[in-house]
Amino acid sequence: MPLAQRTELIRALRDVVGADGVLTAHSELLVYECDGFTIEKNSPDVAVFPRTTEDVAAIVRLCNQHDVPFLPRGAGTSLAGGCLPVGGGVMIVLTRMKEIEEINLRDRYAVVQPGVVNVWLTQALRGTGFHYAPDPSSQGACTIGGNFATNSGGPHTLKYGVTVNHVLGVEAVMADGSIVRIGGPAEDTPGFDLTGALVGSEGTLVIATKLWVRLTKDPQGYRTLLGIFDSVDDATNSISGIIAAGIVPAALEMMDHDIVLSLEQAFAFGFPADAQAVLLMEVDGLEAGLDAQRDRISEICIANGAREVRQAADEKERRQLWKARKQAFGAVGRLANSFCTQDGVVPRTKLPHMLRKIYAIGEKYGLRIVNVFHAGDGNLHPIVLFDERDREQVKRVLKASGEILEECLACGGSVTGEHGIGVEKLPFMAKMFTPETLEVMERFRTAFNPDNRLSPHKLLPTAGACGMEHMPAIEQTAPGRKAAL
Amino acid sequence: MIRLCVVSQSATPASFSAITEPTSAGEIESIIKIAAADGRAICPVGGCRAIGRGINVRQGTTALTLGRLNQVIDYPHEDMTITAGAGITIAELQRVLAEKGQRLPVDVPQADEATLGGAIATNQNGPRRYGCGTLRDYVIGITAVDGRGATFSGGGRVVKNVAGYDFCKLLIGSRGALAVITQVTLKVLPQPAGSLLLVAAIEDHEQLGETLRQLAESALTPVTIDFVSGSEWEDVSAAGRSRCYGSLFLGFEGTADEITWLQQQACQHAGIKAARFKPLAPEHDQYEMWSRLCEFPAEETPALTFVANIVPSGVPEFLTTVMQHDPSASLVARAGSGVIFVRCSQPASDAVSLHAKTLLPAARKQHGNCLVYAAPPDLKLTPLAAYGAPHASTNVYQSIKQTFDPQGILSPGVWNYD
Ligand SMILES: Cc1cc2nc3c(=O)[nH]c(=O)nc-3n(C[C@H](O)[C@H](O)[C@H](O)COP(=O)(O)OP(=O)(O)OC[C@H]3O[C@@H](n4cnc5c(N)ncnc54)[C@H](O)[C@@H]3O)c2cc1C
Repeated sequence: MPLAQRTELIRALRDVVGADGVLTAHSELLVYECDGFTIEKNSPDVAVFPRTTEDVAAIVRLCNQHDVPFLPRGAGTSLAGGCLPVGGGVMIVLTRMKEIEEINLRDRYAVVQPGVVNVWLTQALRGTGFHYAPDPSSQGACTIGGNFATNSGGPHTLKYGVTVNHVLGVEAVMADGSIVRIGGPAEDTPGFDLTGALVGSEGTLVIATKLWVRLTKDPQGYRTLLGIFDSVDDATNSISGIIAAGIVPAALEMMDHDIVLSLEQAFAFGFPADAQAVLLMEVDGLEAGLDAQRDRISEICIANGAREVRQAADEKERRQLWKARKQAFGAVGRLANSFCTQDGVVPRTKLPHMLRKIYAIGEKYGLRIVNVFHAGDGNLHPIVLFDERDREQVKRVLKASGEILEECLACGGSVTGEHGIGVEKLPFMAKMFTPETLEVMERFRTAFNPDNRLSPHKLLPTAGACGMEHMPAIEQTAPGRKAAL
Repeated sequence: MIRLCVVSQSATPASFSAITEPTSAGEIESIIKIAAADGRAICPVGGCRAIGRGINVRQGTTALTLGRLNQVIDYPHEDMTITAGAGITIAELQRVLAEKGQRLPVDVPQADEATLGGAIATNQNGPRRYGCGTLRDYVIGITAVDGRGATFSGGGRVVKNVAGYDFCKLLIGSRGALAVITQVTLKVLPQPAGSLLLVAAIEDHEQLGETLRQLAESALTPVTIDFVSGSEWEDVSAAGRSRCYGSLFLGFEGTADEITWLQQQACQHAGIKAARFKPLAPEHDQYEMWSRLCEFPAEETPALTFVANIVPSGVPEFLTTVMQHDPSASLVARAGSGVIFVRCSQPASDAVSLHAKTLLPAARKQHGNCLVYAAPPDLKLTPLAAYGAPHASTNVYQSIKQTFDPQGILSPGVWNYD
């Protein structure tokens, strides 16, 4: 951006949000170069921190007047590069819009600003008998605005549904700076489900400034089980068996040997260190039905060769097991200095095949791949370990990751279950969708974002390709992706 | 020959100039391309059960029926997903699923004739929506042809997927005005082992409010919370009384143990002022009653039926307003979800003015909207009655319509407030 224009824009932005709401120094902007996907980095020209919807609208209008790109950002925990400011421009950081505006238990909804951290809502609801169901493993940091934009899942979304199943309405700033409200506290807004279509749009259609989210009644009881397996095959066969038996657990997560071992070394949770795989399984609901479901799950695991199935004795043990699961990414840091997580999905009966394939791909490329994932949804998170100083190894990492995702597609699956396309998976869009579909998606995007200043170069391979030639190339750095938690 | 469009009788066979029955998505592309070239209107119709309510079919419109796209394309039942042509009837779909002990837990009225594509385009659901959700919770993949004749898709065949824009959601409730849905992938669930429907007599709106409030707080997990009232429900509500405000149904599904516990709790559950639930009277079969609750909005009558969507806590007040202005109206309120069907007893023209003057403002007050669900064929509806009050984002809806159907040939008139 030319200096005079930048100075003028910064002055105008300060007029909107005050001097303390605008960051411009290179050192201050480093944090905003990337999100959890650190392979590609680029600094925004300015980061701005609005406090109200009107602030956001005013900022967007200024960006349009100055013809600079802009994009929203929550906590920056996204793993697909959705927050990468391609071409620089203005980063609109929503973390100061952090009020829970309303909690309405009778009508089962809450109204939150986009910067509210996911877990704050659940904390605010503690003791009321309700909770907010989507629980991404990053819930201690990520924002509900970010969850809306990426349609986040989590361990318990197997039974309760992902973010889109819990968003009733949205107030948003459009790419032209106008403010709209779509949906609201009542279900079934007449007309097509636009709220639903905006969820998961990765910041490329609108900037959410307020969300109406559904609250879920706490279950009466839980049974939390730990299945211990001597082979990965036995564990994945058990998962398929549980789903095929028509049981819908609240959560069904798998961790393989290397994850279990690193968790043990880091936190000593008491998992058997020689287990080749463990399944963390939870059923919830009415007490009257839980023991029968628990027994059925145990039987299926044992029939598939489980060494042992343990039940969490009390709430403390249950919390401990879930803590272990949510710490798993953190523990991976002990295994390698860099790692790269994929997010493929396969039909659940294909899990045994897919896990075998992942290990075979690891062997083929001489890489260690560890697995901790949302097994009940068929949503894999193979984590490829590497050393980012080894350029040749980095190339193998990218190849191996690509091959895993190709195999997910060959199984009839998807390249992303919850992290999004961002910039990372752009090359895969043409493999998942026909050119006609991509063209319709492009038209859809254009209806909202006609000048493509809102988060260009994301989600669609073609988006932003034209008219953006003047933008500097994205800096390609070594993958050094580390989970933020 | 096209069958009569009973749910919305605003489109009759005579309204259509031609009927085409394509056998493949490719044929649909060709038909739409030809129509687009001549600017001829196309109205996709499923089983013709809910054809674009409120569409006033213009001269020269071709009806496109999807009855021949009715195959099950892939049913990997162990993955609990199914892919089928949009023309499959809901009853056939449920029959195929039932063979494997599974179901789509969304009730669709007139399931023998309603098609999957039609149910999605009109966002149908029924009494189980409180516990089981709506179609947006089950459609995971969709293929459709837009108003330019381009086939596109959204989602896929796996239960979790965030690649690309979610066109599955966009087409739910789109009334055939954005694209012709040709194929759908659904997430399905196991059939419950057992079910139970209880009923309570409700004396007045205060008791209804109190009972609903207590239910919302209780440990009970109903799939259905439906309140009924009016002449069409006299056999249920009267129950020996001379005059009764209405009846509240409470439906449960689950294992035998769960059902036993729920029945015990619900029948004992009688907080201060709350109603007392009991099993249905012997002359009422619970499955028939469930189906009656589902079919109510779609009954073939000459009367005007409205649907309001409001916050659940506003249901008693909204109902009071309805009963004050049309004491003989029959209604079903899916009280847990705030969705209310009102069949007016007044002549259609009076009902239209009741809507504008009373029902719509009452729904707006409860953060919602109200529009016609079914109307007699000869009634020309105002946009306000047909689509409800326009909202702030109406222009956004219109620009999306323009994107998918630039020539305005698909189900013309929908959401047209001009
Ligand atoms: C350790 C770890 C564990 C994780 N576990 C999970 C998991 O279990 N499930 C899961 O789904 N994800 C998971 N993630 C990914 C990530 O946390 C989620 O995608 C999360 O929703 C991102 O929220 P955020 O606030 O950090 O958004 P950001 O990263 O700041 O933004 C994400 C995207 O949303 C856009 N955006 C942000 N706010 C808005 C807004 N208000 N309006 C419009 N667009 C907006 C951004 O432009 C960007 O494209 C994990 C990440 C980490 C690091």
